[in-house]
Amino acid sequence: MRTEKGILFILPALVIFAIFILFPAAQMFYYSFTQWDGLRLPKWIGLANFSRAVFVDEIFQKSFLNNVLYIIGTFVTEVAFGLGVAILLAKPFKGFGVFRTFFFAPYVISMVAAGLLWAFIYDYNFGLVNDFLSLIGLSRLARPWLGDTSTALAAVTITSGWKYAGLYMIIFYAALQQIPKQLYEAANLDGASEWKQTWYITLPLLFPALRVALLLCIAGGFAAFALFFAMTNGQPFHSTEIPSTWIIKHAFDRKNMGYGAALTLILIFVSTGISLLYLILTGRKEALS
Amino acid sequence: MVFTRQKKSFVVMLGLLILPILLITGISFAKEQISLRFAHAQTEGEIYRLYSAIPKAYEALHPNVKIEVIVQDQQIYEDYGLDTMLEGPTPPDVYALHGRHELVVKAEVGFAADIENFVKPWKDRFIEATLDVPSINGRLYAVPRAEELVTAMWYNRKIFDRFGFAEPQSWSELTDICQTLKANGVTPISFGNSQLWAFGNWASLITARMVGKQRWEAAMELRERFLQPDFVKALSLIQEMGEAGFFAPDMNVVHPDKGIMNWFMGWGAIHPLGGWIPSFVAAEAPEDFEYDVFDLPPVPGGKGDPHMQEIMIVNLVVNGKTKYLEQCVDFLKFFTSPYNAQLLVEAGSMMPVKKAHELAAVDPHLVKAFGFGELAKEIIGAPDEDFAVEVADTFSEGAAMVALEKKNAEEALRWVDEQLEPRRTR
Amino acid sequence: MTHDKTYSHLEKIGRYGILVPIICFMGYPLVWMILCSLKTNLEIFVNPWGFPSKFLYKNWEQAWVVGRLGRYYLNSIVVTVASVCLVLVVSSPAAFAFARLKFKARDFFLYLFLMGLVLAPILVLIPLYKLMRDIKLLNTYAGLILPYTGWGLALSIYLLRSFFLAIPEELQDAARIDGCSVFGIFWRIMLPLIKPALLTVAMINAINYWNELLLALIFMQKTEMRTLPAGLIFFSGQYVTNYSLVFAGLSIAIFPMLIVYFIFQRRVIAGILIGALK
Repeated sequence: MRTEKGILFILPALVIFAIFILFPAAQMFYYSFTQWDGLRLPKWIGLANFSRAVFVDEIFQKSFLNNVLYIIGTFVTEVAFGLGVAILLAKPFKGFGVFRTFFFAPYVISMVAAGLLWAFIYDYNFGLVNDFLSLIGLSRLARPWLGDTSTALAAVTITSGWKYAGLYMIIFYAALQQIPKQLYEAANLDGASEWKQTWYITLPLLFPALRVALLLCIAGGFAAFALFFAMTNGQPFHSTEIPSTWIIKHAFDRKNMGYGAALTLILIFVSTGISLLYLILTGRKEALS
Repeated sequence: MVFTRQKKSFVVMLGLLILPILLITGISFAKEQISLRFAHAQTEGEIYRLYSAIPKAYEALHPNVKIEVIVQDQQIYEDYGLDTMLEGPTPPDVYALHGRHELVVKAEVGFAADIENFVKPWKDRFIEATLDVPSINGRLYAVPRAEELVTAMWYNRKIFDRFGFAEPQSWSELTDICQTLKANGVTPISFGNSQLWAFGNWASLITARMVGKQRWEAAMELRERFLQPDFVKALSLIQEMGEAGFFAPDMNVVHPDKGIMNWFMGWGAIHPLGGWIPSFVAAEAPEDFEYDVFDLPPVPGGKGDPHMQEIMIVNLVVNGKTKYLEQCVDFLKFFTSPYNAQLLVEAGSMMPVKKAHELAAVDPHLVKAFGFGELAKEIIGAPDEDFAVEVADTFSEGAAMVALEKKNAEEALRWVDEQLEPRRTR
Repeated sequence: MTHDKTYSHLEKIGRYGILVPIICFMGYPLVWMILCSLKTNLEIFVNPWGFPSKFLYKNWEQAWVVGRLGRYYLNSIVVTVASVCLVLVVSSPAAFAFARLKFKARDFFLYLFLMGLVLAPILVLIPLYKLMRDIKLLNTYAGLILPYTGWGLALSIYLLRSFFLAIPEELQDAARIDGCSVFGIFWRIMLPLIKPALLTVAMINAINYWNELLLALIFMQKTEMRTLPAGLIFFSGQYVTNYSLVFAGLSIAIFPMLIVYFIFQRRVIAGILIGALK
């Protein structure tokens, strides 16, 4: 139906979108070329912020590495974990509903609450982890999980897994339900073991769902902020610093807003780029249109 | 006399005439209603209560003035809360501000008023040394409201007694004590350093005592580099302590308040922190907790004042854009009057007002801690308040890295210089 | 046959053997949290595995009142409900227009909105902060509602559009012939047909707004105006020394969500599935 009134239908949305997203996004480009403390007038400094970010700021570079490591970690703690449980739950058995309910439960609580809770669980002196270790006689393994640069990022990633594995379990479970039962029946008749069935039937047919899951991990991983901010905010010594927390530190703690703007642009550029690259590589460009 | 009807109506008419005249003149005599906003970040304790009580007392003395008190969380206030308020629809007329660095910035933008002329008549009530911080080019842009001791060696007396320690007078005595503690499974020195300033403040004092106040300020103001032999010497002291295992391994994840609680629980014998410890103890410590304080011993080979203290000044600033400059200054005068000074001191907050401590009943620990200042010839402020936050944080982080053996002294200082290079070349 | 039986026995043991510890791993942290919230600080240190000796419900009360969690809940509810309503009101006509109407530069505008799908709020945080400060909307509900609506537009328009596209063209043509105005078609025919979709989109947006931290942290600086996520962080920082109080606060923040989930399981899971698979 052709009508010029169509513009009216999108006008309110367009106005809000323009004022609160498009214009500020454009302004980011301006601010990224300035030095600005939020109070005094911005001072133009050209590409200085960008060259600092790329060549000098080793903490920023490290934060990207941390973010990527985190994403890869979540492939295991969220996707693989969820997938494994989905497969285990695939065939109905006694207590199945209970398991599914409890497995998904952590997903519905807020990220901040989960982060704060797990910060306590990892506590050196009275946290659940160290208590559990001494319960089973391994107290010499007790350490400040969030205070040790070698374990902090892994600890945060595990918390992320605790929270999000349920989501992936649901996704894979739904995908599993789509697989025709006849395939399994035929395999049974051929005498294939359950393990072989899983390997040759289930997994290959789950590839589409797996692709989606990995994309979610990537996009979600770069957008992570709440979990890291609530649990460690980059400590100890930036071993859990991710670009978004570092940006906040510069923009709002150190009043380097211009620099923060430049860092943000780099982050958006890289994360969008990686997501798009992933989509192209897995041939799902049509998801965008 | 009998009130005849005529006399009555005369009285009524007279009344009707006088009433409006009274009202009109009354209105013009009535003072202009003044409304002030006072912002601060003191969220706890007796001091918080006083920060509300003192404005109320002022209101009682000045019926035409109403003061609205606005409190914010410290971290937010310092990072962007105050700036937001100043730029917002309801900016404060009077506000608290820590240290010198921010005051200079605010003055530049017009948010701190030059009140030298107003304060001059009663300037002499303040301790001389404390007027340095709020002065820019010799003129006062704020009045000093509190002296806060930034770092002192608070220790768990029961632990010390258990091992028969005396308060160390020299650096080697300190390391001996730590050695014994460590050998007996007690963490010698603990920090709640999740915000970097707890350890950073302590490291700053060690460094400033080693290199001298001038060199310290030159480095923090980025006029000189940090990688210099004396600075290396200072951080090497920390390095030795770190290598000997004197610090708690999780110190960088522990919140400052939690660090104090851990200290109450006996995890950590010495807890170097500021002058707010006594009021914290009073509010939160277990009944049987015993503590005391000793001054950081002189650093071996130090070029600065061996008894240098780190003292922070909290200022009360008048917003340069306020409509009621005189009233605000008058409020400040009231705030720092001897009577209120006494109340504030008793609440645990040291006043830069002469004789305030003599009048008040102060926690003896606090008196002892401030007594260290009497021996001091030089005073430095807290690094993140007298200098740019980024510089202070970077230095503090470098020091923490040395303490936890992530880098040695030289590497850490080189790292600090590298990180601050972009700022240096602005 | 016996071979099969023992095999399936092993299977069962294996299955339960793996699943039960996993469920403990998923569930016990929440149980621990609630137990700790009812203990004293000392008990938490000394008796981590046991039940509290006395059920200190007053911890919960304290967290609600003194810790201001009640206020944070209120703020979150106001912001979330208002933002969801606004985003639905604004995005459904737009989605309809993109699905069923033709007009100049339609595709250009569509791609403009879809760009929002790949961007994140952090992109505009700094200038948005300055904008809000300048138009004096910091520390106000509108200061969060408007940006939230803006950010919800991309996903809402995308989803609603696909639902509108699924409606057969004939319905629209029939209404046109009957003399219905464009707006009338939208209001009286299309919109009612996608009611379940509206509900789903509302739920997806609600979950995102409820949990949003970044903007809420920076824009709401006054304690009374904070929403739940930022309020929780602030609360746990302020009372960091009172562990049982913080646990109580966390429990209060988490409990209602869990209850809603346990009641509306299927709905919740279905909605989240749709949102994730966009």
